[in-house]
Amino acid sequence: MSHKLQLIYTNLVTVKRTKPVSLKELWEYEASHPVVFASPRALVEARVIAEMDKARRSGRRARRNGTARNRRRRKSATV
Amino acid sequence: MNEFPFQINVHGVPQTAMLRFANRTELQRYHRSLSHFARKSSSIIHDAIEFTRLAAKRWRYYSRSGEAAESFARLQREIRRRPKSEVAFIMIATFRKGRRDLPAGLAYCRRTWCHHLALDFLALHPLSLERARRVSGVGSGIVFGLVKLANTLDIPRIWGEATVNSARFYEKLLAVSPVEDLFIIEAPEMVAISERQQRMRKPTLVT
Repeated sequence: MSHKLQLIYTNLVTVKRTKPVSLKELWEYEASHPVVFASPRALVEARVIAEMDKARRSGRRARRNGTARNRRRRKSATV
Repeated sequence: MNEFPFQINVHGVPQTAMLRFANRTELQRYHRSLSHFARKSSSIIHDAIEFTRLAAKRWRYYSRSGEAAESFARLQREIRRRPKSEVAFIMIATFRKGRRDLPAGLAYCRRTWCHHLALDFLALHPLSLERARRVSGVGSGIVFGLVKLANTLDIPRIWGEATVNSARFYEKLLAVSPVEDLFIIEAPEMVAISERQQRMRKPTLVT
């Protein structure tokens, strides 16, 4: 068996080279196809971070207003 | 080395835009500039605003744990200090109008542990998306700026996840087909992207 076998990305996905477009052609394409892209996984992670941030902020606000303490007190009174 | 110039098209006229590392203040300014567009009904502007806000939040999150860079020097220092670390950074593109620098778009990137560049968000600013402004070439220009950055840092690969919306753009930009879940920019594509921008910069000889 050959020891020279190499696994390269291009062997896994066959892509073919197409005719290169000029910068002007790219500009025309971009003018009609807006570039607003996000990697799906990055988007999910960013949304989780945003939710965590929201929860942290609302907890901090509640502590500042004293509502968290009151809620805790009410809860312990009912138990 | 904080800035990478590239060519865009404004009202049919080529113009130079700049791609630079965003620091906290610049990011806040960029963020504030979005509020004017928040009520626009266009779904693409809505996405641009959402992606930018989420990218900024993610950057701040990494920044709190010291895993984000605000400048080229900081990124270089971090790579030297901890070669296997992952560092996030945001690059902001602007173009000059009169005496003001107008925001054009941003890219959220990560220098991965194995010294590659992952492009997570690439979103134009609503200012560049409004049809009346007729600004184009910001997306491909930002990628060109990232290629320059990769060349400076000896990064051999830029990659990212493609979606149904972005695959065609990367196919055109990289002159490969098909682009499916991933796009990969390596030496041949980097050279082609750079040459395309350089050709535009050279003035055409009129005979």
